[in-house]
Amino acid sequence: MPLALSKPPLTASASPPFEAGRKLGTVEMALVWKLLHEDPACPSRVVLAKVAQSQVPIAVSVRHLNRLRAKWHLNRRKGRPGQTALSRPVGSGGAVLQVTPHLSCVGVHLFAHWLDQQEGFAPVVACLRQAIEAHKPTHPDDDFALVHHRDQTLLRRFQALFFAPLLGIETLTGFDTHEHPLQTLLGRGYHSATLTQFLGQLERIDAAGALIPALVPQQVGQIAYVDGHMIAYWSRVPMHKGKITMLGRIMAGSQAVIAHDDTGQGLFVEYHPPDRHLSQFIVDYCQKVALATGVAVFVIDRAANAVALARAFEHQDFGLLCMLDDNEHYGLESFEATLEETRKDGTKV
Amino acid sequence: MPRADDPRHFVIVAPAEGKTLVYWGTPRVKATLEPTAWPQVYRERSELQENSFKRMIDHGALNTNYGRKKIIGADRHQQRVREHLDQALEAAQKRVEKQGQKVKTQQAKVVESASKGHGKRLEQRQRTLAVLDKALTDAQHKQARLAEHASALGPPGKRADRDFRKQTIMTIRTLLLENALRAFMVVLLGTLQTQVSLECILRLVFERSGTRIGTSSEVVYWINTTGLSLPYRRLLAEVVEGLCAMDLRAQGKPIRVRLRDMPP
Repeated sequence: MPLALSKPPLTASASPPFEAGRKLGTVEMALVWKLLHEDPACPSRVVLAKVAQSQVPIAVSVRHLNRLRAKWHLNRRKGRPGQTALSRPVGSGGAVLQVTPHLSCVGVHLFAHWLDQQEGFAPVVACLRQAIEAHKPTHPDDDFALVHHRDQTLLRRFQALFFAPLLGIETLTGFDTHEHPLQTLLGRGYHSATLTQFLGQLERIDAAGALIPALVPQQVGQIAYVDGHMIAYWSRVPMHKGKITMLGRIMAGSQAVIAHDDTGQGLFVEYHPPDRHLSQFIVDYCQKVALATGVAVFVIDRAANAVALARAFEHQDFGLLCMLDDNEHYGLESFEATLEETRKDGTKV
Repeated sequence: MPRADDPRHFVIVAPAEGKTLVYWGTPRVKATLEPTAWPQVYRERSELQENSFKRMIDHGALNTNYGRKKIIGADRHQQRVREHLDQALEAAQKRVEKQGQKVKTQQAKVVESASKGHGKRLEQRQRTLAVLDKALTDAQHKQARLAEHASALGPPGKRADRDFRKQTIMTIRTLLLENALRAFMVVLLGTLQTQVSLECILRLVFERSGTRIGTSSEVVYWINTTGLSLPYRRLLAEVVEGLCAMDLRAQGKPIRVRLRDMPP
C-alpha cells in the first residue's frame, strides 16, 4: 500500500528520538519535528500556529518549543527572521518522516496493508486484464480509457470501489459528498465521475463474468449453499415485479442468487429479474457454479418438494439437499421411517 | 406412498417437542454425507448465508442499486395473465359446449315426456331442464366475463428489466470484500485470547481515527481511544497487540500499532 509521500525521502541519520514527554506526546512531537525540519528558520509562534491548523491540540509555550528546538538542533538564530538566502538549508540527510496527524478509518488502512501483503488484489487485476485483452479483438473499434489503463490504475480504481463500503460510502456519488481517506489509503483520491466512468467501462468489457474466478479460492469446500437476495428498485418505467414488498407494495427490483461454500466463502453470484422463480433457473445456475468451482452438492433454502427438481438434479449427477414443504406431510405418520439415532435431547432422527 | 421414480431420500427429525422437520436429498447427497448429518449441514445455512447477507448489507453495501440502464422487453406479467386466461377460456368454452349438449338432451326428454303425456316425470324433467339452463347461462356468463378480461388486456405490452451488469460487478466487489474480511478475521483471531466479532472490530478499529507516522525504519499507526469505555479500551488494547503480532508491513517496513489517548 503506497504511503502518500509528500516530500522526497530523506535518510534516517537525523531521525529524532520521539519519546513522549509530560507536555507533548509522540505524535505531537513528530508533527512539530516535521514542521521544523521542513523549515528550520520558521519562528516558533508560526510553528505553533501551523500545528493548531492541523487539528492536533498542543498546549505548550513558545519557550518550551524553543527548548525542544535546541535539543534537536533545529533552532534558529536570535532576532528577526533573516533573508531566505540566509536561512539554514535543510540538510540532505534528514530523517524519513511523514506525519499524517489526522487519519480517519485507521483499521481500513491496516486491513489494506494486510491485503497488500497477501497480494489479495493480484487475481482481480489479472482477471480484469484478461477481460480487457479478450475484449480488444472482438471490438477492435472500441477505444475507451479502460483498455489503455496500466495495472496500477486498474488496481487503484478497483480498490476505491472495494474499500468504499468500509469508508461509509455506499453509492458512487458518496465519493463527492462524504469525506473519505482515499488519499492516505491509495495515494490518491477519486471523485464519483471517475469511478462511475470506470464502472461503466467495466460493464462494457463484461467484467462480471471475468471476475468470478477471483472469488473462487484455491481450496473450495465440498458443499455449496445457494440462496436468493432481493433488492427493491424504484423506477417510473413499468418493470417486472416479484416478491419484493415495501410498505405493503409489490416492487420491481433484482434477485441476486448467491452461492457460498461450507466455509462461508462467497463463490458465485448471478442476477435474475424478480418475477422469475428460483426453480425455473436453479439447475442452470448450479451447472454454472459446478463449472466455476467444481462443487456438485448443493443446499438450497427452499421448502421445495418437486420430484421434477430432484430428477433434474439427479440427471445432472448433482446433489441437492432441501427441506420438504410442511404442507406435504403430516409428521411421522406420513412416512415409513427407520430410527437411525436418538439424541440426548430426545430428538429422533 | 413411495413413488417408483422418485430419487429423493428423506431424513426426518422428530424432536421431543415441536414440529417434525423433513429433509430430502438426492442420491449424490446420500453418497457424500451421512444422513444423520443432514440436519446439521442444512442448519449451517443460516450462519453461512442469511447472517452473511445481513453482514454484507450492513458493511458491504449489498442492498445498494448500481446502474440505471433498463432493457425493454415483452410484458411477462401480461403474458402470464393471458396464458392463464386462455386456459380458463378454453375450459369455459368446453363447459358451455358440454352444458349446451346437456340442455339439448334434456329438452328432448321434456318433449318426449310431453308427447307421451307423462305427469310427474314431465315435472321432474322440466325441473332438471331449468337447473341445466341455469348452469348453461352461468357458464356462458363466465365465458363472456373471461373473454371480456382477455380483450381488456389489450395488445401485447412492454415492460422493462434492469440491466444487471453493473449490479453484478458491484456484488462481486461486495463478496470479495466479505471474503477478505473473513480471512483477515481468521488471522487476527488467531492472535487473540478473546473472541471478538467482525462487527465489533469494524466499529472498534476500522471506523476509528488516529495518526500515522512514517519513518525510514517503520510505520506507526496511532488509534484514538477517545470516548471508549474501559472494557472496550481493554479490548482495543488486546486487538492492537494482535495487529502488531500479525507482522504487518508497508513497503517492507514493519507496522506498529499504538493506542493514543486524546484529550476529550
